[in-house]
Amino acid sequence: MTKKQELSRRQVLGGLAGTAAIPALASPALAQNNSLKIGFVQPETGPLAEVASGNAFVLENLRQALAGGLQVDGGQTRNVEIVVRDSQSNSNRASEVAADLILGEEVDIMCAAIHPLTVTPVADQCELNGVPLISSITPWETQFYGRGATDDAPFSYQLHQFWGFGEITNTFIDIWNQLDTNKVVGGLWPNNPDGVGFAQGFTPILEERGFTVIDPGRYQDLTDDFSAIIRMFLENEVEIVTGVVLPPDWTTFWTQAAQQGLSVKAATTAAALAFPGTAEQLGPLAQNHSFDLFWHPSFPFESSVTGQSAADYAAAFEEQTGRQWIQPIGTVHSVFETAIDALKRSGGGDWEATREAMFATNLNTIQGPIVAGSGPVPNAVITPLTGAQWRQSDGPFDFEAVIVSNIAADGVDAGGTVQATA
Amino acid sequence: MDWIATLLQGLLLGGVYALFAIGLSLVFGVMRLVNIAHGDMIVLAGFVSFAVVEVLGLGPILSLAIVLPLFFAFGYVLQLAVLNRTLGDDLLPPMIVTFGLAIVIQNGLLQSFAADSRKLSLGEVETASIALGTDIAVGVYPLIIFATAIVTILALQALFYGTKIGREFRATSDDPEAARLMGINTKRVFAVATGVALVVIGIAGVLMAIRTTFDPLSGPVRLLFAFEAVIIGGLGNIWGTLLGGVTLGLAQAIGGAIDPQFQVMAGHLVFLAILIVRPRGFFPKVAH
Repeated sequence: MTKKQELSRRQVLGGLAGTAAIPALASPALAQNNSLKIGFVQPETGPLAEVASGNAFVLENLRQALAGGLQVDGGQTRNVEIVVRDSQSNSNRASEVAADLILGEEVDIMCAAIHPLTVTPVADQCELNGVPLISSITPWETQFYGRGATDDAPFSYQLHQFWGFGEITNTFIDIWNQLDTNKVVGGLWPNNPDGVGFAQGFTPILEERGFTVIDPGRYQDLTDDFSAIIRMFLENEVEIVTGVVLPPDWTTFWTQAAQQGLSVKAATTAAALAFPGTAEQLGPLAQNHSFDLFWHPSFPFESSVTGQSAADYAAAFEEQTGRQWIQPIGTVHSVFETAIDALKRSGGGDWEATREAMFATNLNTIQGPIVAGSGPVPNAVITPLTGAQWRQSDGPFDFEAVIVSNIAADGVDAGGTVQATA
Repeated sequence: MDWIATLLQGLLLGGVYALFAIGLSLVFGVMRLVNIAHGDMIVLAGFVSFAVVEVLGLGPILSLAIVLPLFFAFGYVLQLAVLNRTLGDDLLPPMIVTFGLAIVIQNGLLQSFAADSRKLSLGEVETASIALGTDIAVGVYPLIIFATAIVTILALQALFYGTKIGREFRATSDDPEAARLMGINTKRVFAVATGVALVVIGIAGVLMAIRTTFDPLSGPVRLLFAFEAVIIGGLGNIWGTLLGGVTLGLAQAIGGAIDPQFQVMAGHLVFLAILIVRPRGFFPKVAH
C-alpha cells in the first residue's frame, strides 16, 4: 500500500520546518488500537484549495477538543483519530483516497466536503463499500439526483447536510425583490457543470417569478474579454447580473462592464466572491456585491463538540490564523459534529450500527440543527442559507459580509437590507 | 456601429495577448528556446509586484522599479546557470527544463502565497473609459495595455537594431557558431537576452495583475494564448507577435459577437487555419 500525506501542508511545514513529509511521523500520537477513525476527503490543493483553506484550523480545533477521547454511549472512552486525505480537486484522486481510507485505514465513518468533484466520488465509494458518509458544501441535488438516486430509491449510506437550488434561487430573488428594478436578469453561466446546472435550474424559476432572463450562452472559463456579453446586456437593459463565475472572470467582466458603460443595480453571484480575500483584492468594485452565504459568525448556534458559539469560533479562527473568517469553516465543523455524534451513539466499530445512528441524527450544530429525515429526500438535510453583501468596513478587515436575506435561514437574523451596487 | 465596437474591443484584446507574448517571442527568436514556464513567470511577476506593494506600500506602477531589475537579474542568472547548459541541437532538453521550472514556480507560489486569488489595484483608472460617439466606449486601461505593447516593441526594435548588444543578439540568433568565431561570448549574449525577455515578462505580469485576479495556478492559460500569438505572427518576429495577438483578439471578439460560446474557440480555429495555410506564421524570422 502506498503511504500518503496525512497532515495538512501547513502543519507539516510548521512541524517539520519544511522537510519532506515523513509518513511515519504523520500519524497522531493518539493512534491506538481502540481509536475511532474518521476519514475526511477534501480538496486541499488544486483549483478548489481556497475553499478548503480554513480546514487546517477546523481539524486542529477538533483534535484539541477530542484530545481527551470521546465518551461513547455505554460509558467507554475512545480515542478519536481524524485521517485526512487530499482529493487535489480531482475526482479520480478523490475516489482513490476514499477507497484507501475505507480499505486501508478502515475508518469508522467518512466525511467529505467541497464541490461534486470531491464529494461525489467519495459518496460512490462509501455506497459501494457500505460505509456511512456525512458530506456537505455542494447543493444536495448534485448528491441525490446527480448521482442517480430517485425518491423511491435513495442511497443507504450518505447523509448530506447543505442547501439546494430551491434555497439559493429563493434567496437571490429575495435580494432582488428588495430593490426597485426592471426585473431583467443577465446570466453569466459558464460552460462547466455548475454553469450548465444553474442555467437550466435558474431560468425557468426566474421566468415563473416574473423575471426576464437574458442568457448569452455558455462562455468559456477564464475568458479575457466579455465585450460581446456586455453589449448584449446593454441592449436588453439588464439591471441584475447573476451567475456562477470564477473570480478572475468576475473581475474581467465587472471592470469591462464599468468601462463600457454597463451599470447594474444588483450583482449576485455564487462562487465568484464567496471569500473576503477575493472581495478585498477587488477593492471598491466589490462593494455591495451579493452572494450566497451559508455560515456567518452571527448564526445563533453553537458547536456540540467544543461548545463554542459561531462568533467565538470565528474569533478563534481569526486569532489563530490571522485571516478573516471564511464561511466553510463552520459548515465543515458541523460535518464532523454529526459524524462524532453518530459514532458516540453507535459506539463505532460497526458500519451498520453507525449508519443507523447517522440516520437517527437529531443534533444542534454550529451550522444549525441537523435532523435526519427532515429534508426533501432521506439523504439530505437542509441547512440555513443566507444572502449577504460585501460592505467596506473600518474594522480590522477591509470588507465584512452583511446578511441581507434570511428567507432560507430559520432563526438567523439579517444584519441589514439590500443596497444597490454602483 | 456594433461591428465597430466589436472590432475595437478585439483590437484592444489583441494588445493584451501581444504584450503577454512578446517575452516568449524574444526568447525563441534569440535562443530557439521554447519557454513552457512563460505563463508562470508572468504570474510570478504579478506576485512579486504584489509582495512589493504589500511590504513597501508602493503603487503597482512604481513597483515596476523593483520588479524589473529583479526580473532582469533572475533571467540573467537563470540562463547562465541553468538554461545555457541545456541548449544544443535538440529543442527538447531546454523545453523540459522550463516545464520543470513551471511546476517549481507554481508550487513555490502556492507555498508562499497560498491559493488565494490576488489583484493589484490602480484605483479609478481601471474602470475609466473614453466615449467615442454615442454608444461606443473604450476603457482607458485596455488602451494603456495596448500602448505599452507597442512601446515595448519599439524599445526592443531600438535595442535590436541600434545597439551593440542588439547586433550581437541578431548575429547569435542567425548563426551562433559564426558569432562565436567572431569573438562573441554567446553564453553571455543569451543571458542578457533572457534578462531582457524577463523584463518584458515583468511588465506583462504587473499589467496582468492590475487587469484581473490571479492565483498561483493561473499561468498555463496565459501560456496558451501567448503561444498562439507568437506562432500566428511568425516565430521570433516581434512585430509579427503584435499582429498575431491582434489576429487572435479580433477572432475572439468576432466569435464572441456571434455567440459567447464560440468566443475562445474562434481564436483557436483561426490559429489552426493559419497553421494550415501558413505553417510558419505571417512573418517567420527563422528561415532554416
